Amino acid sequence: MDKIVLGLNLSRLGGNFMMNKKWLVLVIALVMVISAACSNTSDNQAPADTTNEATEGESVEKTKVDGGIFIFAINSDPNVMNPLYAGDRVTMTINNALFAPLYVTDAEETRFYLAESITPSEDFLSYTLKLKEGLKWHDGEPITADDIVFTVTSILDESQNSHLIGNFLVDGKPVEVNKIDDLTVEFKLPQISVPFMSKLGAIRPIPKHIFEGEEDLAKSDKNLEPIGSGPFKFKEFKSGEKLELERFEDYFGGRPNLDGVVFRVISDPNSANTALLNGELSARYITTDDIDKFSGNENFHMATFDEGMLNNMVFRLNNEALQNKDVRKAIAYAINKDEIIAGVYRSEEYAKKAYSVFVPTTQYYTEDVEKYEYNLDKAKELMEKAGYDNLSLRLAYTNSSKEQEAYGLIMQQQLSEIGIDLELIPMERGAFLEKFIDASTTDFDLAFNGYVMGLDPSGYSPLFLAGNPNNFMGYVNEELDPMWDKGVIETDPAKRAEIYEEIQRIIMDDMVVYPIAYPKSIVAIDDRFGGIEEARLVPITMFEDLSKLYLTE
Amino acid sequence: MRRLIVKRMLQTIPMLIAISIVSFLLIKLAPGDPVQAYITPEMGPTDIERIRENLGLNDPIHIQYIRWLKNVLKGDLGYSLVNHRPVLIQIKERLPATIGLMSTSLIFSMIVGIIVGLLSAANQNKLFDRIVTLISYLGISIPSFWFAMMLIFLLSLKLKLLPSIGMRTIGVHSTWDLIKHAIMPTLVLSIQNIAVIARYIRSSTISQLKEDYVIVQLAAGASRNEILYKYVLKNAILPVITILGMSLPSLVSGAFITESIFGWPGMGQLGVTAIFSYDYPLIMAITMFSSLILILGNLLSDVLYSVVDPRIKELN
Repeated sequence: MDKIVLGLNLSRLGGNFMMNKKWLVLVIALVMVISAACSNTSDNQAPADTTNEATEGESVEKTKVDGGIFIFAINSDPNVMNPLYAGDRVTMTINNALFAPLYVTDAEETRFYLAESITPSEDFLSYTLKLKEGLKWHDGEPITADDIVFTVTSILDESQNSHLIGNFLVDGKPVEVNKIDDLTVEFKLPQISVPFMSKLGAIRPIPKHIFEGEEDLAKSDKNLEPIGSGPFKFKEFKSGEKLELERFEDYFGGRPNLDGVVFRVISDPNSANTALLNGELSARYITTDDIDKFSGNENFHMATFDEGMLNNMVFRLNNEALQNKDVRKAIAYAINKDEIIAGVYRSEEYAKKAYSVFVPTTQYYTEDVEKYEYNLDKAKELMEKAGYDNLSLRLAYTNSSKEQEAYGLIMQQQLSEIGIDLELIPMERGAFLEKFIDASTTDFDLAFNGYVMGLDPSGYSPLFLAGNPNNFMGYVNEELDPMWDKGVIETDPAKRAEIYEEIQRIIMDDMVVYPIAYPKSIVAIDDRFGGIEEARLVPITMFEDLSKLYLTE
Repeated sequence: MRRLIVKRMLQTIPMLIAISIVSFLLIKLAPGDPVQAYITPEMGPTDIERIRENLGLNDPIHIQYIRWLKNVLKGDLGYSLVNHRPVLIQIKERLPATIGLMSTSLIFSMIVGIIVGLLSAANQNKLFDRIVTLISYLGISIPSFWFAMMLIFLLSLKLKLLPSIGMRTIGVHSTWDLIKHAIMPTLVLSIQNIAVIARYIRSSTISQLKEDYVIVQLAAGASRNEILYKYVLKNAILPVITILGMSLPSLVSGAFITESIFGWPGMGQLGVTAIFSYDYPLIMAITMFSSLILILGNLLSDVLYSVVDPRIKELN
């Protein structure tokens, strides 16, 4: 009944509205005011754009001051503030401030944090880890070998469900961990595993004196007020609002410059952009669409860095036509990467063309593979050889990804040149993932995916091993599979390089995954902050060492 | 009266159970799976199966539902699958912010809606009335997220009057700071209700003004204002109680959107994140709490109505 009344009211309102032309004028005026207000910003920002290019880079006049608070945006509460369980970007970013790693290995060097050194034995079956002297937890207790042993034993305990367990299993068998003295721990491997060293370094120890005796580490209340070893310690957490951390005076890397770091929960990306523009945030990842908003603004320092991610297209080998290698190669030759980069990312400044299934920051990455440079004649020739003059294929992707949608539209156009009719199937994220991770589903023939597999090349093996649940193509190559095992036990770097380069060549020759682009992360940082180079921009956590950031005046 | 309330309270029980069954089914039927959050490339199929088993996701759906219901009746809403914290604690943390925002908005929209509607009726077809009509027309039709972005753009970015996000400035603990943060979310959440209430009050006041008793009063020499505020208001305000019950659904769903846009740390924001991470126990709990608010709100408006207008009580 009530609704009917409302309906009548509205129609009466509508009647008034129609009858009176003055109203129309008013509405139009209002719309004009609002749109004028909108366009106003771009006018204001345009001149700033030109000045910014000249002042790129660190400005010299600024002086470093003590204190200040750096504010990050996170899109949800942290999951479990315990490094044994952090698998998502938000929690990993927070844990990076709270918990220090043992050491960090990248393609160039190893940087030591809690660890003083790591030494493999001559037979590579045991590793000796030495901790730095005088290390302290946030509550003042010393960090010792007992904490390391406790951390690793907890990870290896299946009932604790830590996802890091794989780091300490070699061929399914656990690594043995022994305390030698207060600052020395020895790890014994059941068999040689070269990647073990970098996997060990990434471990962020948890304090034994806090967690000892806890039945379920993930559900422990201790995680709500974590005691860590990183540059900032826990101060206050308000669910849905913020997490505040304050300076840890006794941080082993030297007293941090900032008073604290704060993580504010902002789930809506537009709101987060506004908050950043409004000075309520200090830094944020932005998309290529938003570049103009920030690069034209002198209050922000823009930086790009390699996220270590490969965006790719997966071929489903249960499709009959795609079982034919020539068809896959024809598709690869018919795709013009330059057009895709220009159309989706503007230029190679924001995404590099990808030629291998490894990313450039992975060890032993090579471009010495079949690059499938755009070649329409060759593509047509291969299609003819395979005996297809026209072909219908279905391409699935996540409907919320603008990037993937753009890839799809461009490829649809390009592949029509060789007689392939590409049907685009955008799917809700959950629905897509559910189908995608099961290589036997036949709902689509091609799909877009992106992965970050890390520094060590052996990390890529689950994607290509026959029968592995992470092999989304249903790819089987009996010649390739044993090579992954060989790579893990080869201790001579030159020979290892040979193995992994050959692996990349074989996969690219089989063309089961089409590498599209290595997208870069773009961050806009409040220009009042310095020390960005020393703090190192890195994938996932944005900064490697937050203690190096400082405020300027 | 008491019988009516008890009767209505008892009716809510089957309603809540029905809602819980439907939402449980909907959540389970939706594609996607919380285990996705646990999987890493190092895990084999046996590990994934182990986690699934540990989480109880392998049982048939009716077993899962009965287990959930049993626990809820015992007062145990379970643990979040994502952050492993008790669901009840998380809801308790978020409830004050949501209830605060919703009740402020409700009171604000009632006061503004009634005043504006009354003035508009008193000045029927004059400039003020026409402006109110236009604005309320806009208020009903403007999508709240658009209105929110426009407010943020104007008041935060351009005029720098208000903070754009959150509930408090980092490091500031004053009430004034809280109020500044609450202004825009309250406005966004209220705009539609203000418009609806103002329209109601306007039209019912206008029809009341034509009633015989008004004419009699006028003839007896009472002033127009006296009639308006003493007699007409009392009668015109009655439908507002019904609107209150009706506007609760839009308040609850509006809170989901508003809280997400303004980073307001309430239940709505918690719900949106829970849905995107397939956090079943949390989604169920939030659905049940929202339904409870709705049902109790409707009950309250029914009871109020029969208090104000005894004829309704007789009908029951």
